[in-house]
Amino acid sequence: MFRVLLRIALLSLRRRLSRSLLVIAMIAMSLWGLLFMEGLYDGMTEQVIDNAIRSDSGDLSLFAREYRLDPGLERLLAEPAEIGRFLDEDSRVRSHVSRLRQDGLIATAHYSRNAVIYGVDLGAEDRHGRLASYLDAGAYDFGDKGRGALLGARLATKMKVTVGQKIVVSAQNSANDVSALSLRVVGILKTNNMALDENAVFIEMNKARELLMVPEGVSQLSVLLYNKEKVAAVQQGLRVRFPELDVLGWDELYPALRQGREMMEIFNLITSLLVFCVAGLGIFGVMLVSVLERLREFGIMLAIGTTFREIRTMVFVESFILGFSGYGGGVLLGGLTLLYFYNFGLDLTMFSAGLDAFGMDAITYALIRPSYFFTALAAVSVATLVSVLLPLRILKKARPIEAINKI
Amino acid sequence: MMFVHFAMKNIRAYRNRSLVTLLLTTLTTALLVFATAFMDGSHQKMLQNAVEIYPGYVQVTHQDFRDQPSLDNMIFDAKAVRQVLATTPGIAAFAARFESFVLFAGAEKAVGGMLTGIEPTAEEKLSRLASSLVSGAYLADHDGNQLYMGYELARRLKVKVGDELSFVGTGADYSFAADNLLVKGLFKTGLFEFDASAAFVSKGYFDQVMAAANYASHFIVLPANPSGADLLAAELNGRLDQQYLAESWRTTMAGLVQAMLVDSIFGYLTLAVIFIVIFFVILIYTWLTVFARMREIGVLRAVGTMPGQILQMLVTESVLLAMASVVLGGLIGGALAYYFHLHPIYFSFSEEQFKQYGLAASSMPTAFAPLVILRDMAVMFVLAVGSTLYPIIKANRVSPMEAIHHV
Amino acid sequence: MNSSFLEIRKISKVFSPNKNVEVKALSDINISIHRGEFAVLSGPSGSGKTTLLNIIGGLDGASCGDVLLDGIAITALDERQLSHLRRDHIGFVFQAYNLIPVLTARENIEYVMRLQGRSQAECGQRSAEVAAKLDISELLDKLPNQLSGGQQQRVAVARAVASKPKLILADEPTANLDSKSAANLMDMMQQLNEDEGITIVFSSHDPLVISKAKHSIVLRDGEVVANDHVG
Repeated sequence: MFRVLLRIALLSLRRRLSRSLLVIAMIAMSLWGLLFMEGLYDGMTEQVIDNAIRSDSGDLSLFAREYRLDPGLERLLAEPAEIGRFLDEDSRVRSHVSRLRQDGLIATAHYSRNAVIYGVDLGAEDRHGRLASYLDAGAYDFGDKGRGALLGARLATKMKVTVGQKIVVSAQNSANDVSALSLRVVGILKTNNMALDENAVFIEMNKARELLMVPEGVSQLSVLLYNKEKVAAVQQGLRVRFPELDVLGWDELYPALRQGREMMEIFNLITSLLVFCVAGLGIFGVMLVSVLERLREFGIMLAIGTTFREIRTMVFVESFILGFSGYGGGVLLGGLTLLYFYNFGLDLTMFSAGLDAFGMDAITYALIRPSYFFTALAAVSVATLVSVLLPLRILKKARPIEAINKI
Repeated sequence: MMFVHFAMKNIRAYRNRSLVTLLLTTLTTALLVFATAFMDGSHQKMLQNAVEIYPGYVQVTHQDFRDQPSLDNMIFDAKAVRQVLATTPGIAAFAARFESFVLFAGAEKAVGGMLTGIEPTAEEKLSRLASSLVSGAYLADHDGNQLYMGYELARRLKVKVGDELSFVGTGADYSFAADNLLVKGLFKTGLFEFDASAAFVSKGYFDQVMAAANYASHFIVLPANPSGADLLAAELNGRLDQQYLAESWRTTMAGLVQAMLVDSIFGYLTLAVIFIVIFFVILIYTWLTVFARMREIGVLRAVGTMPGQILQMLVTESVLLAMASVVLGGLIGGALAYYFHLHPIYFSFSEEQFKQYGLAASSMPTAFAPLVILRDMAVMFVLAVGSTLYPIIKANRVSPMEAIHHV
Repeated sequence: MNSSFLEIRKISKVFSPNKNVEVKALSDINISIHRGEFAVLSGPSGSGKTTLLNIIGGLDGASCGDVLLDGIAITALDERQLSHLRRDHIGFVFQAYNLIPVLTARENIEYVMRLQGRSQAECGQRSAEVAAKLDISELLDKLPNQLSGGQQQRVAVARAVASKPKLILADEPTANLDSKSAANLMDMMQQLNEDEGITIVFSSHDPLVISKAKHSIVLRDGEVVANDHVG
């Protein structure tokens, strides 16, 4: 029986082919737009977060207690090696790296600016967060004597310094005196992490120790995990093991980014809801008319022994055929579009100055999450289901069997 | 006239289509009008804040300063520039500044920052420095070593009003400059980076300690009409010695201007996705009604109505519906825009984000611009009428014979 | 009155629902109808009555042959000219009344005159005049769905007549009416035919209608099997 109903449903849809195609096109187009938007916006958000995680916070960072509120050389992680050993034993930890940090001043012969000096191990940083991939100019190498410095891109622009130029960094050392160090710019880093691009001067860890008179201890220990879902568990473990330290997730270090992601999620949700409600209205209109114009036909079917249940099934089938054809079309279009932007990215270089101000990469790669397709499927199912409920009620009330004798 | 009358009757008779079209177009128009007002308003506010807090509408610098911000590219004859500015019409106020980057040292800490000499009385009209006071007092023209500093900078240096601190920097003649300063007042503009690095002294004192008499790194100029900043900059370039350059905020803050543009583009992209679905639904509903009236159209054709006249009648219906809803939507959207123009929306939940992007405002008024509202209404009108054309034209192509026998 | 007003010459109509099937609806029809005649096309269902009326009215094209209306070859006219022809010279009455549902009886009656660009006053006067003749003066402000079948059909006749066409084509006008309403309608149409001198061509298989005709044409399987002038 179901095969017969399916056949009638298909034939009815074919009889109003243009109209059916319009509904399918509507669903497909709205899905296409939504998928594209979601994938692209998520791509943007995650890219910004990924930049912050890789260049600075890691999935987790360890600091001496209250260091974030009052950063200074008197609040250091005294025994990073011990923490390192603990992390090395944890199979969930992918890598970790430690940094020494101090506020200071950078000067050329002509000009000076405030800056943040980071003592780092370039090799470890690259293994950790692929820092070398952010190199915009010059070389990712402090040189044999460690007299090189890597500058944040915006700092370099503001100072108008280029690779090869000499700079002097000065900062307060642990003895509360100001000491200075003359270095040569070997490279420019563009991480799109605004805090770094704006202020960071990366120097060799040992040079930083000399400059700041800090023979041991570090300011920050950044940790990356294999699986982002384990962050809370690892964080908890670290807090238990090192109760005297602050163990902070990236979202605690960059609350703005977490907020941005939440806003984006809410925004996407509202947009999707709006789109599906409107699309549901479209399906509803078509199904209503399609039911009403076939009252006589349904009456005849009832008269020759079809049950109302079967007719209801048929109407559902019609609605689902429309919905799922649209879904298929939308997923195909949207999926292919996302695949393209996943691989090749959306190049907004022409707006690079504006994107810089938001800390965004000039090329945005879309994300493709299975959840997009599942939620869309659920939404289409609900929209098609709900949109035939009223037409079916009206159909039941209209007593189609009486319609047989009407013209 | 007959067709307008006829169209009115049809609008009343085919209530479902009219209501859906009316509702959707009204909502869409209101949405577009409000979204535009919100985007424009918040962008204007952000730009205005960014401009007015410190950088100013028009800046006059040495022409090489932007490419090479060194002590060699200062304005060395401030008097001459002052004279030109004083005699140029259309200027509400102007003042000289001398910016330098120094290392501030409190009792415990040293932090790099910007120390700027300003003309306190003139500066009051030009930027929001004076009005951003949170404790102590603003500077006076004849103040000596009194410092007006950012709240966050004071926090980092652990100083408060009345405390002493010292600075080390480079004088305008490349000499070593250092002195003790007394904290006179603290300010909080809301621009976190700025509040964490900027401090001001009166220019009289600054000139003395930095050997900068009659020097300035730039002048800021407030046009009598801020929206004419570009014109004023052009005018000044004609009047000033050619070693100087006047630039409006559109140039000095190009990145931020473009960032707002990017934000608008993505905003409109999202709206476009919503609009596609909405106009698809309007198209579908028009399709349903027009085809439900196929027989009627056939009769009209049979009794001698020209296809053009039927087109005219159906389009008149769409136009009337679109007009009514666009006006209604424009009024709703406009009213909302006006209300939130007077009562700005406060975004407490995204404060962190604003901070991160260096945008001081978390309270956003919408823009109330009647011309823009009319433009959006016109766009919606065209879209609303446009989305009904396909079914109308398609139905009108059917021959009268087919139409009369349409089921 | 004896000149040939409507000349149907060698009209054939072939429908081909698909490539392999051809249905001959009309073959080689030759009829000539005089001005002011009250003619009826009769014959069983499927004999081609409606098709022939549609071709005469310019709603449908013929496969071959000509229709001359008052000397004009309507088979040679384009869509626009046909629209004008229907508007100015032909009135239609359909089996299913086909009034415009959103317009009142009066507006339905005046519609064609308004299309012709006549003044409001002229339309009003004429609709009142026609309505009086058809005994529907009381019904003028009602909408079609407030009228009975017989009333609707009288409004439809009034609409066809009001613009003073040269020819009225009526396709089974009484098929949906009871016999009393049908007889009533036929009497009124006969009266109009006499009063206004309008040529009327019916299709019908109702003996009552056929009996009123002065010129009876019988079709069967798309061919004319009888063509008689009565009385």
